[in-house]
Amino acid sequence: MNTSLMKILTKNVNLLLGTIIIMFFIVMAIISVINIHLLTRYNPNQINFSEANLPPSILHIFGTDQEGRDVFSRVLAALPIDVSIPYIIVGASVLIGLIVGIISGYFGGILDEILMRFTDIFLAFPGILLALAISEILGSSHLAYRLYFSALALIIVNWPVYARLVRGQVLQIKSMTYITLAKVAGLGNYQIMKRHVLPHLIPILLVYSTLDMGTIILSYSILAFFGLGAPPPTPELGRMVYDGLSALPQNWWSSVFPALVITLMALGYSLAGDGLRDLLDLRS
Amino acid sequence: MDKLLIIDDLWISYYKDGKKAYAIRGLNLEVNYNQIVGIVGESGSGKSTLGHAIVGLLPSNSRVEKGRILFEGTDLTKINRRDFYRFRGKNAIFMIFQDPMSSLNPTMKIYDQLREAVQGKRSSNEDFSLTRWFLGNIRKDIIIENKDIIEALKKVGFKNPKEILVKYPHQLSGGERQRIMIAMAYLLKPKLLIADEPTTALDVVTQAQVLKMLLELKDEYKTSIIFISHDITLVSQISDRILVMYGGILMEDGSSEEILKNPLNPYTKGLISSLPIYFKGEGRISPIPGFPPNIFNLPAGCPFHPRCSSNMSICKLQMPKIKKIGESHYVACHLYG
Repeated sequence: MNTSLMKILTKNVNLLLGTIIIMFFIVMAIISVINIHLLTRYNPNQINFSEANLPPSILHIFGTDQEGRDVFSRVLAALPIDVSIPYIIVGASVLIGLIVGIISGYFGGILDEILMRFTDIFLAFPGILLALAISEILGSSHLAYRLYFSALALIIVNWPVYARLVRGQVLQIKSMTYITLAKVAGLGNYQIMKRHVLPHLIPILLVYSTLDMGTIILSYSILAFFGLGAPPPTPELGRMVYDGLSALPQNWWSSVFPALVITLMALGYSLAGDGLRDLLDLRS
Repeated sequence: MDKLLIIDDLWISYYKDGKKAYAIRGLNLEVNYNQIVGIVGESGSGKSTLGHAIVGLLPSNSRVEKGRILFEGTDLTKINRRDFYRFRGKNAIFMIFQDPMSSLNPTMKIYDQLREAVQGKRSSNEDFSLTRWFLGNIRKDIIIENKDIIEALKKVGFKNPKEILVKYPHQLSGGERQRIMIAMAYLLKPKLLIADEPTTALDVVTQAQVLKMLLELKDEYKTSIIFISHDITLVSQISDRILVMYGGILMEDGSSEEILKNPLNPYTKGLISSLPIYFKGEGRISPIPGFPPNIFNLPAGCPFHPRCSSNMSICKLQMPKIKKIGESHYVACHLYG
């Protein structure tokens, strides 16, 4: 393995811990997609009322829920969606925000004014409420695709933040002499944006989107909690927390373990984001 | 065409908080082929605005009110922003800047920046093409060889150019970066190079090197140079002709020797006598009293009259017109005619 990478990771505990947590969940999700029975012998959707509400034990590490389904196998089955959906949401938000932000910041003028007032409209709403409303309106008639409409809702809520971030950076970069020099050397706007503006945006976008992953995991879980995620019986962490609520506090395991997994995933991205920020030295 | 650049009665204005001010008022300037013209003036005299106006990079709150900038017969003030690239870069107009620290992109290696400066230029009358849009319009006819880049770096005094090529700007000193800029000029072979205070951030030894390289550039490629500076001795070392600007107008225009030996305008006299090597009196050096004017609050008449030692009553009322005094010596002052 690359020695300088090892040196960076051992010096930066946050980044190391965060990366380990993120990689752990990604690997678990991949294995669970390939063959879930490599990790558990239970079928995540097998209802078995004779084994309902069993506490955590060696047979059922996370216990069983009210319908006798093994919570551990359901958490594993939920991982593929809960790990990949935040990447799609953040990826799409960054892409849209990047395009709008660069165009707005670079060209300025009326175009900038229009685009920024447009982002203001989205930023004026409390994000999670707007996302709830959008996914309820769009998804109520397509229950099978509700998950994608919820993701779309979070993208709609999230991209203006990136557009703002990118625009601010572009305004700063635009005033540098090397941009003027590139113009004097006869370069076109597209080349200046691609070669002289974009590379400077990557560090801040990397840090911000990593930190944002944690928030998006929580936001998506909130939507799933309210039943706006994948249709049942597909397991989902947020929905599992909700399903276990009625059994609290006696049968705590069926909602606490999924909640812990959500927290741990969010923590992993937060730690990695903090570590990246220290590494890339953005604060100075 | 016997003149490379003709500036004819140029007026440039700035807008700020709804107020309008003139940075350049009625400037006339001619640059021949293979000539170095020095422009001297204090801050706010309009010398940098002039440089930016020629390459078409005036800030958005300023515009050319009147006049023409003829580059080889084409009026640059009539060219719209999208077509201006044809007059920049290779075989056209190039500009180097005061601050070598921010003139180079910190995320790109020197090799990429030099290569891009030459190849990145869009070719004219090309139709839109998606592949070209993605790949960024590499010009086939001006693909440069690596040996050209190495050659250019050798010309600006780098002993081991191959090591420089793979470095990032932060690994170079200020002087080295300014030499990279001049290497860029060597690669582009512009017809007109505008050097906007290229030596201000450098130490004296490096300044001399940079001047020497600019002279070599002129001798080798017949590049005309407009050298903008506030230092009249520096300008006189390199220029064939010196223009002195103050408050947006041309105060004096003449050959370097003439200006240094026989300055006529009181402002030029003041500039020269405030330099140690030209100071002839005893005691302390006498600087010009007062401060350069704010362009939003220019005095009426001659802009220099509040600070002028030979102030007359007409100076407050009338702007002096530029008059021919001798062979290639022009001055704008009420003392003369």
